[in-house]
Amino acid sequence: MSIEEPTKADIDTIFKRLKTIPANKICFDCGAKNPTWASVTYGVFLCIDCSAGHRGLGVHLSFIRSTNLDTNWTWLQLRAMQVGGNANAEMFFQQHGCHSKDIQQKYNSRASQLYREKLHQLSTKAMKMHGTKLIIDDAPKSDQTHSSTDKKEGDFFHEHSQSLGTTGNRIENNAENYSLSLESSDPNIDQSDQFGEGPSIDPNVFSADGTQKTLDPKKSTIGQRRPAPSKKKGFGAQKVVTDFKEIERNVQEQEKMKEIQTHQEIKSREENEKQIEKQMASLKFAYQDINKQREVEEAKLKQSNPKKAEQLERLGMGFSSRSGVSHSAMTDMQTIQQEGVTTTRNVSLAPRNRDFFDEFDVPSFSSRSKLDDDLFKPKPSKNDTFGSDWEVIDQKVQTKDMDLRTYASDTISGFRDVPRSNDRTPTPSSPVGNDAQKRFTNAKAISSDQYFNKDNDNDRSNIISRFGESKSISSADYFGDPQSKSQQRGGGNGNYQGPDLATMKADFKDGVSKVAGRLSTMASNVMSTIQDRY
Amino acid sequence: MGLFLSHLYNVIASFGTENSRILMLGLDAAGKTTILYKIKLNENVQTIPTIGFNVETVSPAPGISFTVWDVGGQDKIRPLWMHYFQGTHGLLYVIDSSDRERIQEARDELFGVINNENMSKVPFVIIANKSDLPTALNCSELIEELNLHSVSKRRWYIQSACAINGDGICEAMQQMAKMVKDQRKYTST
Repeated sequence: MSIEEPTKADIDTIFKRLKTIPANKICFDCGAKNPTWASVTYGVFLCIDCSAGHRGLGVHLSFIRSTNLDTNWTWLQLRAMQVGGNANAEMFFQQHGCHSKDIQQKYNSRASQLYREKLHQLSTKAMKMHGTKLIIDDAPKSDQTHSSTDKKEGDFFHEHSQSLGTTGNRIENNAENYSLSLESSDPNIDQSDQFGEGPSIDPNVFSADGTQKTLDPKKSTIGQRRPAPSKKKGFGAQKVVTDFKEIERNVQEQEKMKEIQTHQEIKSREENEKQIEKQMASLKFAYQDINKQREVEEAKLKQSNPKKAEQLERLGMGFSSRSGVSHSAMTDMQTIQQEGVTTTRNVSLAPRNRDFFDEFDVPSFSSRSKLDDDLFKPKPSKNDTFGSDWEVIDQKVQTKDMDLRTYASDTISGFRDVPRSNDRTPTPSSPVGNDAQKRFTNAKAISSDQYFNKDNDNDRSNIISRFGESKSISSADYFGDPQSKSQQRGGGNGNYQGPDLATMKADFKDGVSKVAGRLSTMASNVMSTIQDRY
Repeated sequence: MGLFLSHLYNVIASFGTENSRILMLGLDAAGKTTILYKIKLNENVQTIPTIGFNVETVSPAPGISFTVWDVGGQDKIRPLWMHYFQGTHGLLYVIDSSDRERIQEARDELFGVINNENMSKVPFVIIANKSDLPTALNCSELIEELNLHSVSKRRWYIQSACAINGDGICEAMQQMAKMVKDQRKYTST
């Protein structure tokens, strides 16, 4: 990997180029024109107002740089901007059902997390492939969008396969896909050029000087249909040849894109259906569980209290007369019970799995009713598959999850919070390696005096240990006894007069306050005399 | 009558306090402007990136009066910091303690500032902002990362803080006031 940083000129040219893409001409969040700020984390361009919101999120969610005020961009960051872009991000967020306009919600969602990770992978991959080459996509603009859809398609499936937990090695696939799409952009041009050459002969054909030629070009137009009207338009013109090429190419691209889109749509529909099926299955499963329980309980009830059972049945609250999916008083009772079971079971399960599950649940299935949500959860097998599949990214999710807990707490019910907060407590204190750091761990503030307290650097850990609980540490505390130390230092600098100055000042202050007191009594006397007189 | 007295007392007491010029620096998105307006208005304002500077006269505690200059931290406008150095009584250096990747950059900038001749006698308070975030470094880690143990000839103070909920801000300002006062004593005599 080359380490040298991009020069200012490199950065300028890259952004100049990126800003020719129409989608990058407007702010990703609000649509304001000519954004000059960028979120490196998502590879999107933002206006200054939206960048403010992003900065408020913290760098773990969105890292903001200015495209013209920051000159220390790294190549990796530039790559992220190049492989990202507003169009790609927009598409990804749309596909993942994240339509929220609220910045907090939007960038704490699962979709944003996935995109973050994906973009990071892509940019590192691009980095490896291209090194510090200035421009990585040589394709013309129209082609670029094309290749991006290509890429998107792959990513879309990658995403779904991930969420369904079917395939392994998705990252590689994905990266492969990306590189393919990059390389394929060139062949695309060639192809379209070839195609374009066919119609370019057409005018000659229609001018009817070569009858043999008609066969070949016609063949090429059969599949296309569309170019026919455009052909007539430019028929009379002399220099149509080049125009035709372009038009032809554009049309072809459009067609291709359409094809791809329809293909994509079909596939996505299939995926969705699959997912829905799966959901339904799991729901059914959950209901079956309930049914079983209900039956058991019914039997119990009948045994213990036949009258009550009868009454229930008479009132339409019976168990057996209903289909599994209706919502009567009794089902609700049942689900509540089930909820209780869920919590206990979840607690006993590995906490991460549950977190993942919640995490997954919240953004993507937020439209479902809470009942579904709760029913959806208890199925342990599902939990397991998801857990095993998502083990890779667990740490991030945990932190993420924490944020979600605060921002999207309306979708997370209270009982889930309790065990989670317990889970979280050990994490913050864990990653402290250094000895000195260990002892200073809880210090909220440290000053130089504190830090360099007794001895010098050798015995720092000892000093540090004294500040284990303090929130703030001053240099005087750190380096040694404040008084003696400052005296030493003062002696060294030759400008310190000793402690008597402080006492002098204190005396002076006392004097001042005394004077103030006297003045005030005087004033009050004057006032009282005035009052007496009038 | 009592009002008059208290007013009189305040006037006399205010002889002791001088308006100090405080410079607030730090990398971009560290939270400088947010801290400034947290002190000034005690509100959380949604700040946009500072292009140029903000200046406010604030009184974070009774008897303390600061004129705080908050200068933008974008990479390209950092060379302008040096124009604010002259006549500064204290330096507030704000760090985004959750931004682990740019700690080194923050350190380099900090040392660039404090080694400037105009700043050589100025005490500095480091505010480790955003300490509420999960990835935040604590004070001891920051001392290591910022190489503060090499700065034994200067007075410094590091305070973990959170501008959003106001934790640690007041402490940092009080400490700043104390250090500025001490420094004045040394230099004036």
